[in-house]
Amino acid sequence: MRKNGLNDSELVLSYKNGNEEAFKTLVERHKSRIYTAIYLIVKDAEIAEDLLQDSFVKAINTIQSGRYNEEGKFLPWILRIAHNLAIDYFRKQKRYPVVNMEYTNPVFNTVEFSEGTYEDEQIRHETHNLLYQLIAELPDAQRDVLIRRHFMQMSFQEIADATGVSINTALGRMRYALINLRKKMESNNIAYDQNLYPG
Amino acid sequence: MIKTFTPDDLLRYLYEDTSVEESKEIEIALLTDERLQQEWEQLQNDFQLLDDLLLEPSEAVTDRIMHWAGAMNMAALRS
Repeated sequence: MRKNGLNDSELVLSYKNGNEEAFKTLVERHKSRIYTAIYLIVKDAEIAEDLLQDSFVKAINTIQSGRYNEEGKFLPWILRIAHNLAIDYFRKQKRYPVVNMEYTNPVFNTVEFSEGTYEDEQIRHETHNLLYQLIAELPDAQRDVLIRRHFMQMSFQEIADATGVSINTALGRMRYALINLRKKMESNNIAYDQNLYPG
Repeated sequence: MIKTFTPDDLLRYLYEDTSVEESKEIEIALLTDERLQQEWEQLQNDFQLLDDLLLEPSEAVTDRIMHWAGAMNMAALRS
């Protein structure tokens, strides 16, 4: 639901016309998803924040220069910018993302869980940290599809086009990513607890 | 006759990659196919688990982004 009733395209236009609050709404609306997508690639909270900032700076510059033309598709557009910046970061470092298997401690979104006990919070944080490690251990192709589909909200066809495979291959990789995650969770005794993850 | 669907079909349905017509057919199949129902419940759990992994960047980075947004806005208004 849109709190202020404006969609992304309208907010971009409003910002272009001088309304800074419109851009703040865009940032608040999408920062978590963009940040998480970057973090899953770079595995470092500080670097992910720098790249999040760079992504929005690029978006701001493009909008203010009048070159923005992705009407109604702000999130996929800025996620592509973020993804490219994350990959560029590794190119500059002359190493591939998988080299670093350890994630630095991120800050989890606690808004939805503020009513839980301290122990619940601790368990949830520990489970999430372990889940990030399990995602890092997935085969590259499977992890890539999982990040693109779930966190970058690309369709399976878009993923297939972007990675040069058939849609069936993209679907298969996603399915195996989920199956592998389930197996890893079972072997690490991580149970899906509805009390910790309310629907 | 109720169509048969694969786990890949369910995956596309989960992420709203199916057409309206196909979605309706899957929903009908889910009412009668126990194996499909189990797979669907599992996929929904996976989806929820991944969604709960969303992270929150610091306030400081949001402030820096908004500082730049304001500066560029001022520059555009002056030009």
